[in-house]
Amino acid sequence: MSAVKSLLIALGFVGLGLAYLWQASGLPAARADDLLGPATMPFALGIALIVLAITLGAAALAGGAGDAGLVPVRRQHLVVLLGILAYVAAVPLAGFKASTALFLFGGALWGGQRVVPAGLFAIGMAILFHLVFELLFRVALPRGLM
Amino acid sequence: MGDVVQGILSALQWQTVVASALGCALGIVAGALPGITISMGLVLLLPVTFGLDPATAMSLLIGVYTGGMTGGSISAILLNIPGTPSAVMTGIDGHEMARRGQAGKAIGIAIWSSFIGGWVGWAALVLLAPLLARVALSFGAPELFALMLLGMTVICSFSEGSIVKGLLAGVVGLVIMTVGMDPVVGVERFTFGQVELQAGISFLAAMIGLFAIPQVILGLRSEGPRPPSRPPEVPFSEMLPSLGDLRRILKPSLWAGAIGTAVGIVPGTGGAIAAVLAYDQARRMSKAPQEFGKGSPEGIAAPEAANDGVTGGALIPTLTLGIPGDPPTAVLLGALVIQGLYAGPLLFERNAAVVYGILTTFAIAKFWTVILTLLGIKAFVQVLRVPASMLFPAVAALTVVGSYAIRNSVFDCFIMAGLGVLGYFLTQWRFPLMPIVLALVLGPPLEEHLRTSLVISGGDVTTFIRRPVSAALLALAVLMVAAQLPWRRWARALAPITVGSSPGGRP
Repeated sequence: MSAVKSLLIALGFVGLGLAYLWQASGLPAARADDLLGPATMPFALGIALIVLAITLGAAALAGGAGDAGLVPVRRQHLVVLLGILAYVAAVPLAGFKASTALFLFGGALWGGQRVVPAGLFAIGMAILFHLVFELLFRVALPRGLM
Repeated sequence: MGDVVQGILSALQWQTVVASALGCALGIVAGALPGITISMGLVLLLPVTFGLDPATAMSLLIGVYTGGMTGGSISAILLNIPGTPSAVMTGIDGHEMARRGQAGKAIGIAIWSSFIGGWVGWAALVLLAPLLARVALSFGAPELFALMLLGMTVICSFSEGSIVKGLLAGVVGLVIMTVGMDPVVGVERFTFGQVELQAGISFLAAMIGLFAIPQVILGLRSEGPRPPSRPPEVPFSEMLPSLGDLRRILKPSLWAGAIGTAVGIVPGTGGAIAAVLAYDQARRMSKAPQEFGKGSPEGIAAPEAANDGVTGGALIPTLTLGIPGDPPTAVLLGALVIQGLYAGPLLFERNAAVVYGILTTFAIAKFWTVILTLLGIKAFVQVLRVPASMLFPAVAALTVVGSYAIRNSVFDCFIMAGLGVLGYFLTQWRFPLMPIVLALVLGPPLEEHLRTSLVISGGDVTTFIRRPVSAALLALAVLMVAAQLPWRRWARALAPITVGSSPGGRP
């Protein structure tokens, strides 16, 4: 199972390399005053990505190269991951303070806190962020559309 | 001489000294808390440094770096939960001693051996860094390109996991850094029409995402060991070692400090490797090797001194060559960039006062670490009781505000989150993240030096081989990779294919 996963990961990197090379093909060529030009480095990196990914895939097929022990991606990790992505996506819409308070409340609840301590923690931290970053460091935190 | 005095004076200003103390305290907390690494503590503090002058900002961060190394051992000794990977070895004998009711003595040995080891690293830094910088000043573009390539290959080679994954991670980091304006002629690359991408991917946002987000995802519902409700008592008097104990730990601490310094100089290694090597060396040198693993004072002193030796060693390539020795020094490089300073030989020439200020503040931080650990141990132990359910969401919120504050850009928050997610998956797939971080730092100058070299040489690629220093550095890079490749395993895997495909072939 680990070998199959490693092979899929390697294929993913090959795909990434091909897409990167395809994008790099549209870059302007070298000039007299810049012999390598903007495209050479991306081309070299794209090829390196593909070669290394093939090596990784070959090693997985051969049953080695440190591929034993891929740690499975757990459902509860994915929940946290999606929570973070939703939080970041909410910042420009709901503003930093509201989205942060909501995220902290949800995160604390998900982590095992009860409603009241989680709520107090969320509100307290949102106020602390306001005091430290907006008032002390003068960072204009996003206010959102609402 | 004027720069030296100016640097020392800037580090002795009250606000710099206070920042150093604050940094040490925060570093001890970050180091002690399982799941919060020193690098993570540093990246979370980066936004705070925007409004500070270089001396105060670097004092704060170097305090975190120095304090964090000692902080990791507090939880390792008292709770057998190493706060940092480098404290794992300390916990073996330290926790054993604490279990016997000598927690104070174990913490005391850790503090004082860290102090001794730290000074070994500091001495090496002060003596070697200016010399190395002077040598590196004579380097042209080909040598600088070769040096950066060597730095990258060393980190990819020594990173945890397979070398192929290390190299792949390095290439991914370089790919990320090609987004934005080309560093030589200013052509847009991979921006997809997005104005925000024209300036490239903010490597600070990237670093925050890579260092912090995977830890938040892994830590929020972690099933790891939890601190007990009543941590052991640590009396102040027990932390002051007797003359006999000091005599016993002095020699292994000096040795371990030297080992740590040497390991720290090699990019990509770090405290964990140094601690293992120093522990082994101390056991060999000890008159009572049978006590190791059962609460030996030397068993605590060696890894602790090595950890702190690493800090001085790792700063040598960081400051002189711009190649970070370990993950925290990669963040320190970023902090210098925020201040408009670029590490490398020119830093010693153009901003010598800043360099000597850093060296002085590094020494001050060692005193603060001892004082604060001795006086604040009870408070630090209480901090260990902060529940993960509150700690990690707060860290996630700090990553968002931190990445936003770099350029007041929500787009940077998206970049941070995206790379954080990438970092999580790569961590689960056992890819090292350090090569990506290093590529983010070294990518643009690497390409710039490569292209400048070829422009100067009129397109002659042999310029890298004809110049002895660049040739030697490139040869070393190739050797470094070749030595780490699993040749034997590949030969074994290929053997049946070769034999099967050639009729009459030898068995």
